[in-house]
Amino acid sequence: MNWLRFSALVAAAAAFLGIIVWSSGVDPVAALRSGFTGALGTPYGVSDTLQRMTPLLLSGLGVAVGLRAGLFNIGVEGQLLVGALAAAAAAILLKGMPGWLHITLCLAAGGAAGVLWALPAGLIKVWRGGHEVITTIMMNYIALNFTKYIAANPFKDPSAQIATTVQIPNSTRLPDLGGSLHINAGLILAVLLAAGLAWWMKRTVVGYELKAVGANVDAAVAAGVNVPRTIVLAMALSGAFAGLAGAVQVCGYEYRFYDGISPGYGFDALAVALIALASPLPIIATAFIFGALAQGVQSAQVATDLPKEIAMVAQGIIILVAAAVGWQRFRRPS
Amino acid sequence: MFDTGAVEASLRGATPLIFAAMGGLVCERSGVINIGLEGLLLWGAFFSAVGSYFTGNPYLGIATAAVATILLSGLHVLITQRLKVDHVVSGVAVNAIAFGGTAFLVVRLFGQHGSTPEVPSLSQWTFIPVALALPVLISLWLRHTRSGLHVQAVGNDPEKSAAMGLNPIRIRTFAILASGLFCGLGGAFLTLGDVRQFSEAVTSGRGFIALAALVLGRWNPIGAFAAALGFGLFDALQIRLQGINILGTMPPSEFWASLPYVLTIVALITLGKRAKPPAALGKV
Amino acid sequence: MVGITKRFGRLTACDQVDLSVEKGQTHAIVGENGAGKTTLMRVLYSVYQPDEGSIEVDGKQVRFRNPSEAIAAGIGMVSQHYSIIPQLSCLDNLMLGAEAMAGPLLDRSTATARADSLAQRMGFRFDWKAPASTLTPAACQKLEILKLLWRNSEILILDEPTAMLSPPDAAVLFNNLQLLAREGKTILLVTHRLREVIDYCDRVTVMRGGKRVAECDVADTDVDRLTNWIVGEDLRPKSDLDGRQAGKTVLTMKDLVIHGDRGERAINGLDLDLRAGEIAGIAGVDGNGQSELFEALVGIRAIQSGIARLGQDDLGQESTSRRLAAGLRFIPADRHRYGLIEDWSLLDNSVLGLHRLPPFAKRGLLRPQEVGKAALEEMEAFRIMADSVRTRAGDLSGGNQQRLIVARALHQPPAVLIAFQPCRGLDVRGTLAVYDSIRAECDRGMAALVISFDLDELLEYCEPIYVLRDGRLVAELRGLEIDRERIGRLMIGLEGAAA
Repeated sequence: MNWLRFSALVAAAAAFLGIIVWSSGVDPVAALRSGFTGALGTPYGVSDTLQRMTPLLLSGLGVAVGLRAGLFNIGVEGQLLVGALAAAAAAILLKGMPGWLHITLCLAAGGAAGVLWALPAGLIKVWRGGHEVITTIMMNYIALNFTKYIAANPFKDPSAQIATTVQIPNSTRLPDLGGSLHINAGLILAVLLAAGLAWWMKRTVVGYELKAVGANVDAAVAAGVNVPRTIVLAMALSGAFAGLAGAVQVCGYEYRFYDGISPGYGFDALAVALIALASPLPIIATAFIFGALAQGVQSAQVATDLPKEIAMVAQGIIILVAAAVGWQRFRRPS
Repeated sequence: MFDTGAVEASLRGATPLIFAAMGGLVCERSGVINIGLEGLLLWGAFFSAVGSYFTGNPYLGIATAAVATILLSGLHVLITQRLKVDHVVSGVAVNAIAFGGTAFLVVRLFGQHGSTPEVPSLSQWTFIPVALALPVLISLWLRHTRSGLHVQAVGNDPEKSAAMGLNPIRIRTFAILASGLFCGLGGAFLTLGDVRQFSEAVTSGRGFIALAALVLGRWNPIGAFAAALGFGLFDALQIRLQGINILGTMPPSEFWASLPYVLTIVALITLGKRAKPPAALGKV
Repeated sequence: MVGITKRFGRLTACDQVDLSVEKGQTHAIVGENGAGKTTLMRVLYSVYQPDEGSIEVDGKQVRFRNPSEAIAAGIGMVSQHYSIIPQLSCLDNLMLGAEAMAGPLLDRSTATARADSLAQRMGFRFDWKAPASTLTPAACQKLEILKLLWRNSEILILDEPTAMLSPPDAAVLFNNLQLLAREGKTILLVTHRLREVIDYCDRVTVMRGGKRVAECDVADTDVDRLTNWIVGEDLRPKSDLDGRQAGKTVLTMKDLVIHGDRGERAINGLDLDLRAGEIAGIAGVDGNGQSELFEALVGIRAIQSGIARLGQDDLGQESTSRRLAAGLRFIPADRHRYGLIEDWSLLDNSVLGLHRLPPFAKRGLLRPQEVGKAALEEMEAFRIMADSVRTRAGDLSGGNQQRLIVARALHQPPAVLIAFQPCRGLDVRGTLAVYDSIRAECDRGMAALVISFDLDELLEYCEPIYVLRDGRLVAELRGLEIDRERIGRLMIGLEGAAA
């Protein structure tokens, strides 16, 4: 990477953002200070940042697994939604078992639902040659409608005005590990999975083959890699991470499923993974940055009248910078 | 169920899809994937409102939208053609800029979140005939003009085209900017010809549906047009379909809302390997 | 062209090269692979801009910014791999970049008339509406020449025009070129086939290591002298094929039928027995089933019927990875596509395809120490020039990439090596090194099957030589039967009926 160009771009992007903030009648320095304090300056702020980072990390890992195999899983959002719904359903419907088993089953249900939602894209790609971008986009809309219907009808909390399930039992909630930062077990799980994924891709034969398929599919075929199986596996793994992201969101933070539970984590995850060049460990950092950004903008909004939409602008610019700098060497198979 | 109202509603539903699908078609026939159609459509919808609101002239609204989307698609040119970055990555960036930019500018320029006030508008019939003519014109253009031939050549093999003295980057630039222009027109229709104001949800995934229409139409302008019409028809019938009894149950509205997406997936499966994308599609 | 210098990074592809060609002459440029011939021509055609030096046409200094300016000035080039786009029609290919127009629209009827008259002048026939994907290699070459005429090119550059042609097709090509030269066209011919130079050219320039080492009239030289200039030292004597003892049959193919991309029988009833210790060569013109045969042996194309057996294993039932595990190794023709992952390091590439085999994998895990050791051994054994094993494979030179692929294929002594154009991109010395290694392994019992379009290479290193035509082996030649002329006739069907 050309560090000079990178620094120049980052500086330009920061200056541009500053001008935008300033042009909305807000003092950029004050906004930055209150944003920084709000996201990272207090235990309360850090705690919120870490909470926001959790779904981004897990779904970012999902995007990354796909990318490393040359697949663009734009369907992480939909897989996350069905994962969240499945986890809530497992929490509410299953009864009479020890808490640890129940939580495990909820998370497994979320992951499995994510796999189920991602598989059509993988199968259609290897079996019929349909582009996964199209399939996953379609699956997103189906997931949106499907989960909304379930939350509004069979699973609806009768006492609520909106489409939501009832709260999940206490025994199915991922524990808060306490301390002033209130780190949730879901975040620890996510970080461990990031490390595990990094190790898996580096050290296992299947991980090596997955990367080979992403880097040069023809060479992978000639090297004896079963490409269809690898593509389906990568898509399934990607969906599993996304579904787990939804499950952790329900079991760790929200304690119920409702229509609109995800403000677009699955799409932000694209940016989180792209900026980290689809490497699992750097995704921990980029997910943290995006979590802090969202938290910081919210704090700055309260303190300085900064429009909240600035967060979207900032994200767009960050993606742009990442795209411009990091992805020149990245090639996908056609 | 089928009356003039339904035909009109279908055409209204299909028009933005046709514009966006034709934009995507020109771009992808030159070998450049464009998943930024959604963002471009939104960008066009917003700037048509801006132009129309501040000048009071909806035609200037269209012009503003066209200029704005051409500029935004210039970003796709910059990232894919100058920096040689993967086309889907670039499309994600274009969408992010469009979502963030419009959300922010709505607040900045109109002082309210999420939508603009009503803006001076036009009849939907200003746009619909253009949308109906466009696929035929593009079809003829691809076959019978020099630039159309060059777009096809570059979309299939940029290196060989360059060896024949063509300038692939210039041709692709032209195609990408054209896709911006068409999406600008589609966006302008949504704001000025349909709902008379801009709101964040005005496109609600139509850019992605256009992409599906393009694939279902097998990268052929008439095929993509037919697919877009089909989606439009379905969109128009959706409200009427609710309450229909199938096998003793009344499918919920979410079922009908999902059906076009399910059908797209079914079509992807049945179309299979007969879909012939341009040979160099997506190669940076 | 005066004092042309072109550098790529640290590599100087052309170093102060002078070249002057008279109008109406056929001028050959010869040299080893990597001598800078093609680069020099691409500078003339303005695909590349020279770092130093200048170009004069008709006494006037010119500077083209891109090929289209060169084309406008009457310079045309046919590159080795053709610039025909299969998805477009023949007519559209012919006029691409110089279209016949009627107002704003393409004028295909006028274009067809002119195309027909050009084709008639050269004695060709084309169905102009047909997609170019239907053309044979020889027809592509003809279309390329028509493309130059269509553009009224006065200076015709042909880069290895006969690489894909059978000897008679090549003869037809040269007759056509002589016709054009008589009309006053200037022809620049890049080739490594010295016979073509002696038979058809007026003047010759020899390049070595990016420099011009000689220029003279063809009448004043001969093949031996040209060879000395090209190589810069005496070639080793022709390899000794005698006394090689073939062992038992290791690879059997019987009645093999393999379909091509369009469902045609690309390989149509092929029989072959490959014995341990042999280096068998399959000669033939491109398009007679070579790639289909190779792909079917690798396992990326289905065997429709018939048997291919490695020892006791029926290959039709085995995946590529099982074939690799059984000791089959491959050297693909297209190294960028099938041979390497260019974005990966040399280290990661060094076990690609071996990565499931011991000692590189154990219970699903890779063993980094073993992989590192293999990479170093491969680098050393084949003198792969790289800063370290961390070097990106795509940053290696073409020759080093090819050496890496060969080194990997031979790293664990294979039972059978299937090599498709194994020396593409290698110079004379590199080719020798590859065959030395193959021969050394064959002495230890490996069997090698080489599929190549380069008859000279096969004649030099292989025995027996099979001739593949229309999906069948039409001859098997050994010892004294091996005769260049005869193989040439067999390749194009003047001899040996396809039974």
